[in-house]
Amino acid sequence: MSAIESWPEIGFAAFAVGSALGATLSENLRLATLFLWLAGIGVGGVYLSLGAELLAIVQWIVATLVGISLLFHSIMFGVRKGGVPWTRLALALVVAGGFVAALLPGMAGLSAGGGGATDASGLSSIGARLAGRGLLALEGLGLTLFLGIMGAGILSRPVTETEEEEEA
Amino acid sequence: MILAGALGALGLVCLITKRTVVGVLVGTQLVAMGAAVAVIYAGIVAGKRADAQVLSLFITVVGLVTLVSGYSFAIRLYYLKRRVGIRALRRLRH
Repeated sequence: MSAIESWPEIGFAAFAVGSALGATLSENLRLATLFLWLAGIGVGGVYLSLGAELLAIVQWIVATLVGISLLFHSIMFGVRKGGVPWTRLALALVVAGGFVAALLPGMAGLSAGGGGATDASGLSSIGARLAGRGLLALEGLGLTLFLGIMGAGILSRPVTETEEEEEA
Repeated sequence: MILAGALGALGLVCLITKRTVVGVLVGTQLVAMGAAVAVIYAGIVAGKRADAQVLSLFITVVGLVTLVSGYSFAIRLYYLKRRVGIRALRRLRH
């Protein structure tokens, strides 16, 4: 049984890939940020069509917050103009092609496989896993996110006059 | 699964070609999305949807942590050096 079963899923997937393509190829960083947001919306739509509603909502929230924050950054701090050298683009395409080639056997196997009994995927089963086997990992993740945010807040503080004198 | 591979590949291209810190962060987000989608599809095939959703949730949040740290570097770099290019990160040593 193929993992892709519905046209909405295919539509959302195509939308996500198209947006990701726009984010990658766009020279304007603000456009790239908006395309990234759209890619996140598309991926959330894929999750929704696969029955992962919680993940879809989380993905939409994360994508929107990421898009807004990066958009603010590009507006406040400006963007760097200029295209990509063709050598770098060629290297990137080679690396990406190798990545996809390495994944092809796995992708083909997973696309062809499937079926059989499935476990419950409702919110209660997800909550049971998070509160049961995944409790320590969840706590670690929350702590990591908290420390990351605190560190980011300290790191991104405006430069004070003392620091400017030390820099000079 | 093609979606996961495409997102990951495009994220890699973005990571290599973008010359600003925020551009690199866009690439990392695409790679993280690709990884999360791959885990979801693997979970569907294996019949373990709930476990796959939990793991994808973790991947999404870790991607968010990565973005937060990189974003703070981008802001700090601008405050210190008035630059947005990724090569300017080297100058933070001095």
